[in-house]
Amino acid sequence: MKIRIEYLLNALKHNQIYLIVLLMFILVFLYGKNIIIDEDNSKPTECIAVNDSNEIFSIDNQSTYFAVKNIFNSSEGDYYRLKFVAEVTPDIRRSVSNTNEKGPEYQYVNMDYPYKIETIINSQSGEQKKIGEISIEGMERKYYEYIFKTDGNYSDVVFRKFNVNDLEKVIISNVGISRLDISSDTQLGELTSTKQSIVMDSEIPELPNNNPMRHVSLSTGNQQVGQLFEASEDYLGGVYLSMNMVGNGGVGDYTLNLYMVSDENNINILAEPFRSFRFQTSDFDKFNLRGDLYKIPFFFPLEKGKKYYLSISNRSAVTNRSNNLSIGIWDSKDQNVLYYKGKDKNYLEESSALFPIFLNSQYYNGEKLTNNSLIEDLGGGKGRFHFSSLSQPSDLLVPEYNLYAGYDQYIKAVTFWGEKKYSLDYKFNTIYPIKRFRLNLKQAMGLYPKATVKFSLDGTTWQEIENQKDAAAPYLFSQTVEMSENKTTSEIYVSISPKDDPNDFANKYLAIYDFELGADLDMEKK
Amino acid sequence: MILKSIIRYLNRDNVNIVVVALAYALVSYLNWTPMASIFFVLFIWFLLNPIKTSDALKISIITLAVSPLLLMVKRRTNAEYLAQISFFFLVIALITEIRFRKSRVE
Repeated sequence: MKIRIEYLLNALKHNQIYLIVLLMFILVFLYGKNIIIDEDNSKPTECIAVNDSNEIFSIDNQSTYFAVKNIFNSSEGDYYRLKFVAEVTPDIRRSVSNTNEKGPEYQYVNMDYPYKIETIINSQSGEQKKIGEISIEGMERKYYEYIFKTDGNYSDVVFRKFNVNDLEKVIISNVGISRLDISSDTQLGELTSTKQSIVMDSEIPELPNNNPMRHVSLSTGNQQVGQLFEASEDYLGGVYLSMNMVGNGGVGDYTLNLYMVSDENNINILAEPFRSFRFQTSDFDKFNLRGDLYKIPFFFPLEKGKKYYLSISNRSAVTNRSNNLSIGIWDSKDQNVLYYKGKDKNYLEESSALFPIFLNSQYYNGEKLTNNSLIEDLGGGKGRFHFSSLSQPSDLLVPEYNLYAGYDQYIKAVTFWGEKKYSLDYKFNTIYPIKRFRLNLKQAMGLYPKATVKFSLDGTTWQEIENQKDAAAPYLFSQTVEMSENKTTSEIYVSISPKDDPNDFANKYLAIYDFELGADLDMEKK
Repeated sequence: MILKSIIRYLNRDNVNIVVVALAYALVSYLNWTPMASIFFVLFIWFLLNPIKTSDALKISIITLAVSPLLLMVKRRTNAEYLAQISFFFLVIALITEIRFRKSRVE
């Protein structure tokens, strides 16, 4: 026995190198998982949109560029598609300078020349390569994309003013980048165009005159100026109005209110508004278009053909004769009706003060696309559907029409008052057959009741998504679904409702945020 | 009987090949990138079959010298690869030299 151990020790002594190799194997096995390089970027087959940014960036007259850092990681010969939404807010100083003998004149049409920005990709070591240049014409939000080929390792995208002397402010959002599964320029022609349904604005309305006829001040308590209108499109996206701050503009919140109107001649403007949006005088800079013209975002799904009453009120603000808000009023040719409430009485006249902005759904071959979603061709028969909530009021336009849904400005979530029989329903149309999809959403914590989240592929059979038992995110719902070969569908339904709790009859208020749905698509089947 | 024949077959060269194959299997299982896998397998191979220190150093210096030339003609990625190879052989040279000196002392 002793001899054997000695023999073994001797053998080990002469073969130490194998012990070292064994030790290396063990270390690599235990810790080698961290050495995987570029795993996220190696193949564009994963359905999770890692490379999309929900941040909103802007270039104004103080800055000339901004960079979206570490948004991708390229190698030589890769093809990428860069996607973003851009809008230009004209500089106020430029419009003020447009004065003639009648006083300042506002240009409500487009700018006199297209605004140009260029996009550059940057590498970690500071190399730069220009990949494109876009001209932004008009003041509406628009979607832009282009495909580029990389010749090395790049990681950042930079948006830069082409002409550094431009004073306009550019707002860029929804920046995303995806790697394409193609290897030569000839394959570019085979890609189908991207189908996007980013919520866009309608054009700025043509105003009867350049300047308002007169002004009405919201100076005494609980006064409002409003407009009766008929819904001509699916959604309300905001309102254009002309307003002037008198003194400091008053203290507190002004509100935009939306009422549903059943009887045109008898609108109860003292009642609680159906929906409201609060803003303060400190927000005015954000909303200013030029001169006295403002655009206030206010999103709500409408029923086409129905009448609504939209008003601005100082109910929650403290105003007086020297500190208030005055609203511009135009003579109206097309029978718009304006009401406003003085101290005790209502006035009714044919004029207009608020111009609602309507938004419409986007369609592809007659099929309605889900708002704020994107369907792109990645080449090689692969495609991707991507939707993520933006933590902005426009998130309210994504669920199916629902009277009990709202948007909470303070927690940045879609809220929902759900009695037992009601639910917040989403329908995602991916156009192309789904191979796999992943769904993530969070429920706001606090005093809210627990939610039940269900999904369905046909709208009839539902499957409940389990709440993740994770201490860090107790209200996270997440599910990845692989589709079987013989089952093809291009629709996903998601339904959110309060969990039935026998002890809780009163509180049925839910708040949903960070909703994300990504799907891998089979582009060859359709 | 079979065990004996296996042990007889397992001379040092064959064992080394098996170990290198194991190394490759390990990195494939861990899903490493091709470049990292090649480096690891080569590293194990040179550990088991040491090359001359001077040879390793020669390779290291040549690749290091070519790397800036590639940078001049804007082949950045390839230049990076060559620099990695250069460093790799420098490490190999160092290890073989240490082992050589240690065995000489013994």
